Amino acid sequence: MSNFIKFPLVDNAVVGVPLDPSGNLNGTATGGGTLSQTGVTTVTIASTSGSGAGATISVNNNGQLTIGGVILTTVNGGDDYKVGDTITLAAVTTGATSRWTANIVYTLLADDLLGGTITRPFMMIPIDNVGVIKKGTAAAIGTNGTCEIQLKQVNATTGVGAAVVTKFLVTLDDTVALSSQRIVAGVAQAIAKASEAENSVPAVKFIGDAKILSVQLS
Amino acid sequence: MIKLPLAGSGVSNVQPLFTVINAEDIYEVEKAIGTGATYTVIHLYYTIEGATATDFLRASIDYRTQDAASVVTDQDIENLRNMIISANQNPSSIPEFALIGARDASLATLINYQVTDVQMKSQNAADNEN
Repeated sequence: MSNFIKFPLVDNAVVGVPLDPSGNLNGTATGGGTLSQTGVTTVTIASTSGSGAGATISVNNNGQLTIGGVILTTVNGGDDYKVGDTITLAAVTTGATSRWTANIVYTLLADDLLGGTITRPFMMIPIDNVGVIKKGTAAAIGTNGTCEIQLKQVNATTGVGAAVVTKFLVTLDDTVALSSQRIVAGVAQAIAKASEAENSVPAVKFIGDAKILSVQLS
Repeated sequence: MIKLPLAGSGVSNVQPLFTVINAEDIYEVEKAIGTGATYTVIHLYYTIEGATATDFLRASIDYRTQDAASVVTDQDIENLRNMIISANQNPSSIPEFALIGARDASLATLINYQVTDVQMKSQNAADNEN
């Protein structure tokens, strides 16, 4: 059993999820240029404004010559898509089924996602193996603050020094100014609380109510 | 865990905020020379293997005065050893370690006896024959 602390994530960070493979996309696509043919053409999403990947979409122009009548259907949901992500389907100008001469662009709605919008209010970090908290950069308006939670563990089979130490890199949001010492102190206070009262799972509370963008193990 | 006062963290030097270090698995404590020829660093050696054969993990505690006067004494090392034992006897306690010099420091110089940073490294094992 691990002893945890919780890091508050900025704006209850939205979790990326697969597209819902059970039906059509619910919004309206734009672009597409000139449409022709009919029937289903399945394509992989060419690009996205977010971090999602792997989804395939079928396009059926349904006999229409403009984008308004096109039906987009999720074939394979991929993963890591979020509401508001813009997906782009590259032009298809050959083949016996639906064709379109310019990119089709579509903005994802909550109903297009498997499970809708899922938020994550905090990151949880096990502290049993924490060695020290190393100072990083100060946070300022427009500058992300950092610190490293260095573990009593190495992440390599060769090498010396700090580079081979396993660590959590904590990155703060850039909307609150906070010195590097106070970032360390905020993390240390939560670790101290968790050590004093095992399994109490305290949240890290930074001065100024600063929030975390990410915690990455490396 | 042991608490250490963080230089420049509080509203004044007499009210510092704290960082913590893990007091488990430590087998050796020694003072070390900082960036100058003075003792401003404490090394804590853990029994945890490093990345290369004969290397083990070591925490370095850097005090505020990095190249001026020594702030870490032999008695500080003995005090810290005793505190490590005490902290492990009472796992839910988090005692605060302060250098002896902090006791008599002025408001202006107190910051020199507070920690500026701590970090973990994989290094050669300490001589533990004493």
